[in-house]
Amino acid sequence: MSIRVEGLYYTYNPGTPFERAALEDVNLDIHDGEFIGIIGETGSGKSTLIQHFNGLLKPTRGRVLVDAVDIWQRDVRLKDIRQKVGLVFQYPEHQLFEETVFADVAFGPRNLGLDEDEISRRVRRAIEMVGLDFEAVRDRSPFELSGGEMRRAAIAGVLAMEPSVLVLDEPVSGLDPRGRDELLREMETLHREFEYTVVLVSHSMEDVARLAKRLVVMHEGRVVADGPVREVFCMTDLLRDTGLGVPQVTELMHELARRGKQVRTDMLTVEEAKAELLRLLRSEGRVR
Amino acid sequence: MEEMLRAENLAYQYGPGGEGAHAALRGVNLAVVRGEFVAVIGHNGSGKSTLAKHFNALLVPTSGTVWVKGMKTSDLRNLWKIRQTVGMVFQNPDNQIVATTVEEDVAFGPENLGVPPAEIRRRVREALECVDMAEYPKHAPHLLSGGQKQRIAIAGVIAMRPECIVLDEPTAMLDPSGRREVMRTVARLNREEGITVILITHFMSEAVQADRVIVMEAGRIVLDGSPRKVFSQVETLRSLHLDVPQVTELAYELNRSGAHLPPDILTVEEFADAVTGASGDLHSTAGDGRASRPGLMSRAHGSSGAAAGPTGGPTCASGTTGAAGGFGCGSRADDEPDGGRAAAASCGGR
Repeated sequence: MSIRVEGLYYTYNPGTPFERAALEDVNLDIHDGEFIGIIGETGSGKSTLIQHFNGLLKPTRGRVLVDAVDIWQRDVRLKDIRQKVGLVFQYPEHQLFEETVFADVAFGPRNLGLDEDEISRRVRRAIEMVGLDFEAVRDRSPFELSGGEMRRAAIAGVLAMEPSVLVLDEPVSGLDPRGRDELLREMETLHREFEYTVVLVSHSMEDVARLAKRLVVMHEGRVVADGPVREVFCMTDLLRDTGLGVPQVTELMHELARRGKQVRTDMLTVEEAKAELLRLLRSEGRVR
Repeated sequence: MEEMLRAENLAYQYGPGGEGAHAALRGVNLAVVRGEFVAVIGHNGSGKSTLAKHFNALLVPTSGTVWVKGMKTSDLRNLWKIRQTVGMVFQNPDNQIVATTVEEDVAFGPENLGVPPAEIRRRVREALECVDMAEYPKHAPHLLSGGQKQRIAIAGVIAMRPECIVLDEPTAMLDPSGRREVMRTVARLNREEGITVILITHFMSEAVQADRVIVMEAGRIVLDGSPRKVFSQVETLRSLHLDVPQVTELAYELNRSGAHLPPDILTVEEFADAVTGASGDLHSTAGDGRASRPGLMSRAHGSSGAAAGPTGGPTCASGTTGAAGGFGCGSRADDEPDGGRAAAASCGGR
């Protein structure tokens, strides 16, 4: 399933003293099966943009097309769009409210008017997809879970709607390193095994570098870069100017190149940098 | 060296005894001296926040003792004095705002202390200057960015003139620029105002800016030392599911494959110095080699530089440290008014 954004403008509080242009001429194509990272500083328009993907916000100007259909055409039911495009907000655990994990995850499917068997099937599947033990958590209060588990339960609530695109706004912010790593692994599994199209909004270059194939950089309401992660991370000046920076190992490779070492600078992870530096050190006879 | 905080055999248990009880701290011993900048790391549930809450008597020990400037926290008569000595800043900036304008919010603390109005105005102005928010006295706090809100919360604490500030994951909910703003503020309070800082964080790039890093696990302190010493324990930190700076991990990995890099590298510049310096181009590391570039984690050049001296072992053991060591100490000299303090602090305090 694809999402296309054409000439999108969005202005908050138009015609009031608080008027503020949040998006200006954004054009974007999200293809079926992609794993895209959207990065940008606070106020760059990331969250405003993704709320257009499922029609939570209506463009001030421009169009949003889901599977080539303009979602603001009169005959389109936004309810259908919202089921297809699952949006996970920041701190989704703040939206947990039911007495048990099962009931919480079942809330969405139940509102779709599905029968109990189908609801049970979906709830079990969603809970297992986020890496929680269904039998162990089904009857527990979501508020007894750890921070990382609560967040996964909240994401399961969105997955139970069986969307084909999953859009996550800062899914790991506030988690500790272990919770973060576990959740990112689940996201990768969702993408790889369940073939979800995933849009990950993040501040963390390290996380994006690890998971996304394509990267969209937002700055002051515009898309300022869009391409394969490796290429975008080469635009160090741009990333610096937009207040973002690059992963520490990428920074290191650039520094070594600046000092005259013959190294590739497009290394994104510790593993990649290790291989490249071993090559360098061997060529200098410093490692056998 | 004057002692600010001390915990002895500190244990704390949540809930009543028996079934529902949960031991959050299991025998913590710790001394923090005036002017130290201590980072506390550990995963969720390791006891970090519980420990922090003992430092201004929000919690009192189930057993053991905590002293703040020699005052026992378990003695109710000390409560006001302790709360004035140690200020707390929490994770969520929205939960800490009490007023409708920035200046009223910052004035809340001193008002409650019964400070005269003229003095309150002076303190509010100074506190806002301290956190770089002097331009915003009449703004509505809820319309500010996360980083700005958190700095207002810090100003509110500073206006009470504490000698020590405990920050419990103050940047967890902020974006990178908000995190930078808050960390700059915290570092300045420590260096320029001499305020003792206890910083609880999950971000290793922040922890390396401290004089000293404490690692907690299952209610106990498992590592305690300079950032250089602590982060070179890559294996231990991994087993505790904690991060190390990427370049530290990279050096560790390369060394496992036969390289000979200093094991306690913390920054991009140190790594680059080690690679270029040892191959004979030392001159290329001189001059602007340290020009600060705002990369994502490359701000990892905290007070740790000064620690290379006293903790020294690993740095000096390797042949490549000429560049790395020199760079650390030299560049720190000018912004470290009291070298003695930093050196003593980074030894581990005990």
